[in-house]
Amino acid sequence: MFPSHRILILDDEPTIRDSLTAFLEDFGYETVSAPCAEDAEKILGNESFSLGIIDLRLPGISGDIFIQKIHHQHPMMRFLIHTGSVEFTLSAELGECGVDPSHIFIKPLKNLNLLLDAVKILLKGAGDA
Amino acid sequence: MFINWVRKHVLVKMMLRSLIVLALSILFVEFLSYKKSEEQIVRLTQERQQDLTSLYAERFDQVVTGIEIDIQTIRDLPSLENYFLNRQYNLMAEAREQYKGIVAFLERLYKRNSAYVLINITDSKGELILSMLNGKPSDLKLGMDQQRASFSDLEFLDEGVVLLSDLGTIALKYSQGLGGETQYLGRINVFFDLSSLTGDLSREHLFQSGHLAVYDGKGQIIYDPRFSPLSHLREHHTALFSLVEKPLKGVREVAGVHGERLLVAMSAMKRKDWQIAALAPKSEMLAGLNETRRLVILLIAVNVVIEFLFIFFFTKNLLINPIKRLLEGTRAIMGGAWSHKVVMKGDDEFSQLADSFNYMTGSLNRTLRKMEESQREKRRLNGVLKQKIVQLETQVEERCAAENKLRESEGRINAILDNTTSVIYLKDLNGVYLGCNKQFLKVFEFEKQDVLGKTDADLFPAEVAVHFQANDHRVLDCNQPIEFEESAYHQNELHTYISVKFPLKEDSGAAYAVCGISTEITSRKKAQEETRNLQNLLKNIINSMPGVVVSVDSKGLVTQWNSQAEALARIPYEQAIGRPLPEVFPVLSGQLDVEEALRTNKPIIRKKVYGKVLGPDRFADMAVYPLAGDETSGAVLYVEDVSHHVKMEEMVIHAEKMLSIGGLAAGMAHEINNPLAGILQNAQVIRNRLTADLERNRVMAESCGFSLQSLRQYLDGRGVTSMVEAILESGVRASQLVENMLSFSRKGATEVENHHLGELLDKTLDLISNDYNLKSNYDFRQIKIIKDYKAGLPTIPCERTKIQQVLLNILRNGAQAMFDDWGANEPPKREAPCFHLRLQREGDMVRLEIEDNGPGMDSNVRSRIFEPFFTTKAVGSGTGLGLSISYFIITENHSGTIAVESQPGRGARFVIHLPIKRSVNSCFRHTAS
Repeated sequence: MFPSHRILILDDEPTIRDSLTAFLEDFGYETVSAPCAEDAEKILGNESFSLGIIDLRLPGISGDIFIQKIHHQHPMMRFLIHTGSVEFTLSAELGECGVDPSHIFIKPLKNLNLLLDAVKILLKGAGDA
Repeated sequence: MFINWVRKHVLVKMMLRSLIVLALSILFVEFLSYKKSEEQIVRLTQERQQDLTSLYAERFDQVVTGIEIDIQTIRDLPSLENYFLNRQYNLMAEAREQYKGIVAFLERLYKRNSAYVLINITDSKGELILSMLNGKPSDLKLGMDQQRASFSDLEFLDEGVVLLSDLGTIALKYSQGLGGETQYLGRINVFFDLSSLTGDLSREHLFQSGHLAVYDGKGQIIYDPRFSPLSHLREHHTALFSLVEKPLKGVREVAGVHGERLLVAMSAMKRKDWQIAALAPKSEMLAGLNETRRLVILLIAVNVVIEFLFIFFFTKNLLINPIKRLLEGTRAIMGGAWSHKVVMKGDDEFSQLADSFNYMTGSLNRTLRKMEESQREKRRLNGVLKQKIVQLETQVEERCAAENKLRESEGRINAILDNTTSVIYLKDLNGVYLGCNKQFLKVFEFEKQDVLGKTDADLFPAEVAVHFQANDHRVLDCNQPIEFEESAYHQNELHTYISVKFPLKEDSGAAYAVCGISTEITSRKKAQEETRNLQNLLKNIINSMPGVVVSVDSKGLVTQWNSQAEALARIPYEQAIGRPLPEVFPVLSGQLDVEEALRTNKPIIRKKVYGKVLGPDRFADMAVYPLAGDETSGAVLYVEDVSHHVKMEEMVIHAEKMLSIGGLAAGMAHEINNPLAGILQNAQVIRNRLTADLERNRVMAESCGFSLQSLRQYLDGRGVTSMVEAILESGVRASQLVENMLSFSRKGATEVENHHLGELLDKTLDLISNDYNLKSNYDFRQIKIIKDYKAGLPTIPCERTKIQQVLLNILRNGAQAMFDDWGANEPPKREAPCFHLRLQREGDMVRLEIEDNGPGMDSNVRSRIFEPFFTTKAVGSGTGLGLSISYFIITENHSGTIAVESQPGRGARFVIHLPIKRSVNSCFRHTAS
């Protein structure tokens, strides 16, 4: 068992939040979910997370801006993007936040294990650090 | 007037005078005789009247006497006396006998004279004893006069005239007393009808209205037909009354009731104091006389007339005619008939007069004749002179007028000649100039003296002069006016003229000169050429235009007709010009209402008209534009083939549709992705928690008192595991579909990248394999795929999605066709549906073949397969645009080629060539127009 790295799941769809939470918990990760960027920020104020799985299309502040914002505050935090937008291209700003193309997952994920693998890699890196 | 006439005619004077004399003498005679006759007649009449009255007076006397006697007789009747005595002594029977005797006597008396209308006998007391009325005894008590009845006088009384009112008779009443000296017995009253007397009177005629009358001495009218009897004459006729009052013998003249003159004769009765009068109007008396007089006058008048006429003729004959003849003679002489002789018959003074007259006139005549002759001669000479003078004067006048006219017309001609812009000239038969106008001199820069007397050869360059002369000669030869085109240099330029040259002829018809009028047409010619050039240019322009260009005038007749119009309407230019448009190009005319355009002066534009004018299967934009200008001078029709554009447009629309669908799809996809994610993720988690070997699973199972193995068994046994897989599969498929849809909408599709055609093909096959078409109920995976990709094929620059679209389209069509065909056959075809895919290099192209073993197409379908909207499928399944878009993508976007080879029953083969290298231009080909 790894030390329970905390994962933040940010998505406006409850089914997605819950299913991702359930999935990750099955593999021993501690997850907290938030429906919107504002709530996520609040949560991040109190606690720290190693990883965030961020949906881009959100009701308030969009996911990518949220990532940039949070990166300033929590530079160690890593991000995976889970988006329904097929035309998403990685911006330079997000790249600076540590996001590269392998961290982008298009909804719907037919195979959640892929996500799991990415999570593991990132957290291993985190863990090492 | 009349007086004048009278004065001029002696005859008339004579006649008038003799008339007067005659008339006077006649009148005198007539007057005397009339007077004499009048006297005579009066006298005679008077006598007659007198006699008449005397006669009647006597007669009446006699009657009265007779009455007296009769009465006496009655008195003396013994029976009467006896009757009284018997009565006295009351001897009634005897009295009655006597009575009868009296009655009988009285009856006889009446028979003798019926004038005794009434006889009464009364007794001494006045009681009526006997009354005989009209000869018969009567009971009536008539004519009783109580007063006189008892009068005891024995006398015979004439009681005058009484009116028996009961009888309506006037009677003379006589009464006689009866009795002796000693006794008065009674009375007899006898009434004698007056009318028996006067009746005769009334029958007497005195002329017409003359009559007899009876008056008594007091003027009472006994009888007068004019007045009522027993009235008083004085009341009626005072003049007569005075005569009666103082009767005088003889006839007197008296004024009548109405003022007429009456002659009255009277005779008195002896026995009574009556007067018988005869009255006659004097005028009537003289009536006869008057008649006679009239006759006499008439006769006299006739006599006068006859005598008058006789006098007239005698006078005329003896006096007037000779005088007249003499008068005529003088008149004739005066009139100039000097030889007139007055002829007179007889030897009397007149004929003598005539003779001397004639002699006189004769000598006068001779003298005068002589004089006249000399006069005449003089006059004649005068006349001749005058005539001559007049003639000369007229001639002079005419000459002057003619001269003036001539000068005028000369002036006018000169004005015309000199003011015209035409060049006018006159040459003789030898070509020598006789004259020319100002313009001639001006244009050729000559002076007049330089021209006259010279020929063309002297004045103009050789070739020009020759030409002129030749034309002149032609005119002379033909002796007719001829029109030429001539050119001459002046002001260093070549000018062209239209020359009309005509011969001037003598009266005989022979020409003596050639006259020419030349009008410059240089500019006109230039203009003509320009026009021709412009026309050619116009023709070229409109013929160069790809579309049909036709113009019409305001009446709808063709004025321009380009080569496209010729080709389509199959009517050449020359035959089309001037004809009405509906005649030469009915299709076009039917499509565009030229009339309306002209009327409203607005263009009519119709776009994308299918199949008309340009032929079947072509789209045309057509318009009719009324020509702009000051007046509607027609319209121009233009038809352009826009089939190409339409195709493009449709493709654009389709592409845009696809885009929008894509956009829709994208939007939807996003929406779908979330729930899909929910499904997939949850399913995966479920799978994990149900089957994966996770720590948490084990822990939870244990706490629930069962092993994961048994759970697994249970789940397998109940098929839950596979169901979960199924959910996942479905979810995946759904997401694949969404992804495929999204792949079409990606805007990044204009990116040209190098791709391996084989890879693209494989990817496309992948996509299709998920195709499950509910309608056709086929599974693409049932189709056999045979790939034949040659090795070492280069990549080709292309737009990935677009090429995929093309491949998808072809493969789908093929699959559909194969399955439809396969399913339609009973029993099903032996051969299963199969695609042959071949890739190879051909020169600088890569060749791709997609061949199926479907039913194939006939040549009709094959030739139209790439047409937009052309489809063999039923309505509703497909737009028919797929292949046309594919065609477009390959040819337009990629500069490649696409073609189909097919035979009915032998499948279809699509052959695509794509260039390996792309030219710069082709990169920039866009879909949008």
